[in-house]
Amino acid sequence: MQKNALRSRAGYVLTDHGSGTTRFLTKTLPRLKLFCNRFHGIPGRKIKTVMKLTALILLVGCLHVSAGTRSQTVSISGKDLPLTKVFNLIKKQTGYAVFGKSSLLRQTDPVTISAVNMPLADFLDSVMKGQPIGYRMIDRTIFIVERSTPFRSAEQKTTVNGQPLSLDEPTPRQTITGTVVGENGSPVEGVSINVKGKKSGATTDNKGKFSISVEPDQVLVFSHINFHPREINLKDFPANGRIVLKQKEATLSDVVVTGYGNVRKESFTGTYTQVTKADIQKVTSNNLISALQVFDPSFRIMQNNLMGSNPNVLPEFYIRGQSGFPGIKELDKLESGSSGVSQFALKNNPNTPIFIMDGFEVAIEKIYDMDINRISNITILKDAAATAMYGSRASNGVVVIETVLPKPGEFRVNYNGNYSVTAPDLSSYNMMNAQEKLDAEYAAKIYEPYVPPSDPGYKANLLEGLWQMQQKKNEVLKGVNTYWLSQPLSTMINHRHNVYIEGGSQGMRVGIDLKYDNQNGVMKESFRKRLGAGLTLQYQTTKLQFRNQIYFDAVNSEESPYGKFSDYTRLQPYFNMYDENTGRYVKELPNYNANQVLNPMYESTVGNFDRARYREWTNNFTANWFVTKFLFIKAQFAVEYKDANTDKFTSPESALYGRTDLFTKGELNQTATKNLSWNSNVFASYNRTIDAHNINVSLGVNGRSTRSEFSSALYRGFANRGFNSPAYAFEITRKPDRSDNLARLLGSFATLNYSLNNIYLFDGSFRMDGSSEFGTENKWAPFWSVGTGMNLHNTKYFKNFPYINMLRVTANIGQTGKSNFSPYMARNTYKILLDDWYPTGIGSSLTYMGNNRLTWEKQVSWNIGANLTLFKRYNIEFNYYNKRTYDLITDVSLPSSSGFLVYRDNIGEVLNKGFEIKTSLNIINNKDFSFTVIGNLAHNRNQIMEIAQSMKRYNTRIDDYYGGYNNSTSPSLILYYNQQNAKFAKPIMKYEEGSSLTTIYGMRSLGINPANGKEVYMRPDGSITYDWSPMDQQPIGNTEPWAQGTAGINARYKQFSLFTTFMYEFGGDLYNQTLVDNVENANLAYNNADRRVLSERWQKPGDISTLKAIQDRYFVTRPTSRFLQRNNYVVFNSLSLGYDFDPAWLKKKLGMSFLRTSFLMNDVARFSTVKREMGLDYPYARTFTLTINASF
Amino acid sequence: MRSTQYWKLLLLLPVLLNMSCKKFLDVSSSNQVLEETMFENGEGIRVAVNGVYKMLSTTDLYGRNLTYGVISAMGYNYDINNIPYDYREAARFNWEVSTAQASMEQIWQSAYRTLANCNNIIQAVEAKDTTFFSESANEKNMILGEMYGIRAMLHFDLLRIFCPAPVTGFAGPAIPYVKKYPETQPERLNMPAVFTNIINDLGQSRSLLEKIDTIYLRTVMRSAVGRIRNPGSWIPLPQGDFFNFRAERMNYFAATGLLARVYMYKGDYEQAFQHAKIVYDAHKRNWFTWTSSIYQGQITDVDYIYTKRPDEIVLSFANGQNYNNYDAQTLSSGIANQFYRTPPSYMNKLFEGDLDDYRIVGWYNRYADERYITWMRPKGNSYNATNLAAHQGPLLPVMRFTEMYHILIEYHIRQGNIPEAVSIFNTLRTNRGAKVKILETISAPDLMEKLVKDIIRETMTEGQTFFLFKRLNRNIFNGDNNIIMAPEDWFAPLPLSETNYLL
Repeated sequence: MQKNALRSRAGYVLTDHGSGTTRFLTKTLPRLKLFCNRFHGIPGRKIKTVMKLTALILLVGCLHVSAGTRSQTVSISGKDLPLTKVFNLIKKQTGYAVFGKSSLLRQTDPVTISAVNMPLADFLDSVMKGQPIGYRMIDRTIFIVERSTPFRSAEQKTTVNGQPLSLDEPTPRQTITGTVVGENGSPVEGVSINVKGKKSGATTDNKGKFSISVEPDQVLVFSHINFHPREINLKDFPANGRIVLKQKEATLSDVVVTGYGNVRKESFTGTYTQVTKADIQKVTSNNLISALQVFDPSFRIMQNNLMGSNPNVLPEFYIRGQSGFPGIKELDKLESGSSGVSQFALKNNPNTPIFIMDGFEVAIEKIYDMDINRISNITILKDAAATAMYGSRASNGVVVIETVLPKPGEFRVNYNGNYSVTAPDLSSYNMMNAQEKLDAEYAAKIYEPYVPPSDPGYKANLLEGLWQMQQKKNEVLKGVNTYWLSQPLSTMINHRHNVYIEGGSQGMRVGIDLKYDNQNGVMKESFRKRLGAGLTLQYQTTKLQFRNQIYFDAVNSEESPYGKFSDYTRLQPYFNMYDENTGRYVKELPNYNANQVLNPMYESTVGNFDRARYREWTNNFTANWFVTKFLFIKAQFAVEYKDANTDKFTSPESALYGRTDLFTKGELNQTATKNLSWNSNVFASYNRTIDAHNINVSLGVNGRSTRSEFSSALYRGFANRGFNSPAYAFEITRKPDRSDNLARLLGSFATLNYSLNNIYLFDGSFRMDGSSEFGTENKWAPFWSVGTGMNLHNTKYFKNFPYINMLRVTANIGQTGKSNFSPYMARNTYKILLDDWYPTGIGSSLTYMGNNRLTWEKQVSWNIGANLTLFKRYNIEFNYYNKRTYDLITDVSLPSSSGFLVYRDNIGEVLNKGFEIKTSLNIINNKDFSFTVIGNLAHNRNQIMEIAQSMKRYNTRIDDYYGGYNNSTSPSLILYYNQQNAKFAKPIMKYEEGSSLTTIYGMRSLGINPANGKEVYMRPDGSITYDWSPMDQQPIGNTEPWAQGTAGINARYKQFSLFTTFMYEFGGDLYNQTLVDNVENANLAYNNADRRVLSERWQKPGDISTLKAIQDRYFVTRPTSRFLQRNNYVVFNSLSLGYDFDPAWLKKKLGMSFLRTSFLMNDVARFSTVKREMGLDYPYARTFTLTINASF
Repeated sequence: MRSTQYWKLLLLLPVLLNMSCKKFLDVSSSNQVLEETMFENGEGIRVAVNGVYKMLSTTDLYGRNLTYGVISAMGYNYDINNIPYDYREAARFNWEVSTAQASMEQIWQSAYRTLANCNNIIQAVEAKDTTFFSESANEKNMILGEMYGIRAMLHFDLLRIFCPAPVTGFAGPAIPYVKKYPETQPERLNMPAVFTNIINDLGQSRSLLEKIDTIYLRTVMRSAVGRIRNPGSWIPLPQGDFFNFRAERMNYFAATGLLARVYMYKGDYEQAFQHAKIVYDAHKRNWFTWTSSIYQGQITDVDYIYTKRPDEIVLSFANGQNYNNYDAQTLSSGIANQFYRTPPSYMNKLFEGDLDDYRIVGWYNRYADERYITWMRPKGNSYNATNLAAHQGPLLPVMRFTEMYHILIEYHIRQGNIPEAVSIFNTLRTNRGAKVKILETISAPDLMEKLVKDIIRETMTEGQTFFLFKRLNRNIFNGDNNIIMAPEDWFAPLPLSETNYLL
């Protein structure tokens, strides 16, 4: 089949094998070819037809495959071959496209030729010898043109080929042509060729070719920014026209992608990390954000121990330390009862960097759901010089993502498939089994009454307790030993497919992107499904380029109906989840303590669900206008529409509704969010090298508008699980609620990048931002940065050290901002009181006390850095930074007689300083074997310099909160109080000047008194006590590590490649909450616990132990330094092993141009000094992925 | 298309360059309206004015706390063991307990929040020309008059709760009198200064509203159907409903009556008499009329009882959720269904000798639950009950003309004019169904005692009882042994949300 298709593409074998597709192809292709041939100079309507047809063919069975080898040589032999046939063969063999008027070819004569592996250019020259046509090759396209002067001269060149130019030609002026190549033989584009002393000149095309009109005896000067200039006297002009230029050391023709145009890497003074798609694919198969951690030590994801590997939880992260107070503080979260990480909390995370995708700011969720195959490259911009052009959004760093653009040429199909196995990782759990648990209960004497033996009820209570123990023992003897941990989990197989079809002419290109991704989480039935399709069209002439990308994405996700993992981990192993008689799940588990326990396994069967989905349309239009060689204007306009819904249903059959009224059973909560945003950038960029000066200036404006609408409704009373649509609800519990929000941003910016002799560098940028969210008195904000640097390796002195390929020092300073406050916070706003009307009409009231002077948060940061490359193989980069974030937006408390409790003002200051080291050592590099070691490290220190009064009040609120601890030892209520007090076991962060945003507060502990198993504390004044008091809390540790980073190796042997990464962290502290909750405070009467309860708790006088007495059920251990542990760890983050198939073999055997398979494993192993349970509400998982990348 | 033409397309994109940047950045959303947008036209100001009344009608203020809620509990209108826990501590005047503080916090914060809204409206309206309003000067004066009146009224109630009574001679720092917005550090004034401000504001309110309520909106003001919204019958008003239902907004008579109340509390009986007389006279000219005896309890059918006596109301606010709010506290399970009960022993002692008074016969224990029916949802499903629920349910009475009787009576007693006092008193009692007439031979203290009882009877569960005792500096009548009040019991300390930030 494939072969047929191939042949029919070639156009001269039109066999019908009965396949409809083939028939279709044979019918349409000749027509298509005709269109293509006519393309040069025909109106756009027909191009469209071609496009449509092409797209159609591509979609029908994806048969449009080509054996194009991309080689630049041809082997064609034959007698009297018509040129049409010759070009078909060229197309087939080289993969080059051929365009031109077909009428031109009709005028040509057939040729007789015998060529074996002849270079294409030579071949074309020879077949066109004496013909009325010429050609021009641009990229991978051969344009057939009528023979005109320049091409005639090319003809001439071939005729003079072999002999030096004769000086006594009758015409003194002549045109010479040639090719400029580098030392490695590859052609060099953009070399300017000047006649010495004259203004006239030429430039090489992308094949390195040039032609220039000269007089004899003149001297030609070849110059290019990355090459040493060369002068050649025409007398010495080589016969084959081949000019070799010597490359300058450490070629960095690359550019830094800033999102607003590209800046030459060599002259850029900002700090950034650039990552390509290939790099990312080595580390992850689908989690882009976590992969970025590997490449930049300052990019860090906050570990979410609660949500583990839940595919539906977005990560929280920051760059170069945290610099803002959280939007919702810990205590407020606790008191409002909202869960840990919601979308809302993330929006309020004051440290999240912004993401710019193809010039357009996008939400984190979009990045999270993005297919990594769409990425071309990612740049993390870190300091002021790199980010200042983002103005009021820049302070947290900017991550710029560029997506792939279709490449011209024959249509190619790229397939990427991932097949992975995800298995839950329970290695951090160490729960007791039924027998052990029973032993522990005996040891803890939980059967013993709380009343003293003198009490008259003592004996009865004791008997009751023993009776219950006996019942449990009977269960154990019956063989009940439920391993609850594994019940809601399963090992999942996931697969993901991406097809990218690209191709077209140099002038018109098409890219079609299709993706399917199904990620099942390890909690049963939790998943995230992503579907996407995109179409990219690009039209290009020599001066203009238009590109339109349209994308549609659909994501459906569902949380596990099995509920939270933590609902299982604490269940007693001697509980039988099945009814002994019926074999079905029991609704309630046995009740030994007058404490109702629902069976979560039963709950999983009643039909609860928690679903979310969104649909997103994005259209991104870009126009590039290359006004002159130096001036370039770009205009971008992007529109995005997103429609998201969530449905959360609690089935009426849930055991939660045991005794409630029929009409109130079952609940459905629906929310809908609609976002419409647009973004427009227009900027001009002027880039020119004049002698030793290189100037790059950009000017532009940027406007953005985001409108969001949110609505929610709560329905109650459902007949059964199937009737879960709102239509079946008995009532609307709450009037559907709707809110909307519009935010706009307008900015104009200018940047300048200048270098002198490629040695002295200067960067400057300025941006003015206006935001609808700022106060009326401060609508506009200026931001700026300046940077300077020196390329020492280009100086004369360092030329003496040829092994120093690069040595650059840079320094920059700038002011950026961030505005992470809620919309309208700066303004006096009225809220319409919709709940009910006053008899004389609808009313409204002031929402907050606006602050007209409210401004963005500001950050002044400076950075000094050095970058060194030795022997072209060893690279090391060092940066030291200091970021002072001030005017932090915080609540300022007011006396309530002002009418309000708080208003927002700019108070507060946070300092982050630290350094980063990045190294890459290419130790072995030869044809078959290469071995590179990479490593990076970042150190950051965070300090709160100033806080508002309200933060101090917040601190006292924390003390009040702990004051809620109930000290009562009333025997009958002790277990009740124990449960009520359990929440006080968690340390809550305070904000104090001089400490950091990651400080842990608690009582300083002196350990467990071996005499009685009680903890001894030391107060800040040095006195010793048994009593825990919130006032005596002090900073006991800091979660921020001294350093963190990544190390890894990247090795290649022949076609095998190996990439491993290890992430490490040391010097930070961790409060071992699971040790507190599950061992120290374990409530053995109600819950299962860690095995360490039996082995590590104090049992009798004289025991030297770090954990309190096992018999102690009275007191909940509140934050103490006893549970503070040094958190040093190394995670074997990823291991990937890949194999690249030999292209020649592939072409021959499979007709493919590229095939790579790789095996990837994430979270291979973890070595940590802290032993704690990982993944509380959702377990962690290990993933094994097999990836196939193929191109046809 | 020739490539040279494409550049024209580029012109389309930077359209935003031509936009006015200022306008581009001034945005607003549908339920979060910027102040500038709100005050852009007269309609917006009307919405803001309605908002002030909405806020006054929340449960934090007159929707509960200042009517049947904590303030009635502090006046011992209920058995204090049968009221919500927070109120119980307040009624025991255990001010150091945080639960006792909670309701006081609510009152304080909501009152000042409302005052901030009032002041913002006053500032906006004063800056506007009369042509800005669709009813020109009338509308401007009316809104300003209402806002000044409410500003005085709220400050007055805060003063009555959070400061000692003037009768004790207290002259120290009282409460902040907030007259502008935004005011981030309001200053506490001493009691005389607060009184001066209250009296000024009420005076200004009266003069602005006088012509509005006696001439411009005379038709509405003169009849009960116009004063109080009744879904069954209404007076169509060409100016629109914003000008209707005057008794549910601060009006001329309310401002006058409140001024009389303020003077009474201050101890300036002559001035109190003068102002009370104005409202009394209006009543005598049938602007405010007695509720017919059949609606007060002469008949046995409880569905006929006019629980809020709307014809007599001089000032009332309105909250459509009244019954729900009340039910939420009384119909829940457990101890809550005992809430807001008044013991029979209390009622019998209060109405001693007048057990035929409609205020006990008609209102008390009609559903055999020892409650006063003012705030209760009519239990019947007759037309009357339904109509009553829709009409009177939302009302939150703040002042009735009967208070003018009380002021006049007290004035005459204090003047030693017992016969005049008795004559007025008997008119009041007759209309409330008391068969026994008071004789002119009664001694002044006995008459005063009867007056106090009558004020309690008249304002049962409507929030004025506590202030009566406080004004007179008497121990609180609770139907049993009177509550002996220590001087510091009389006033709630300023809430923590205020004192934490006092310099």
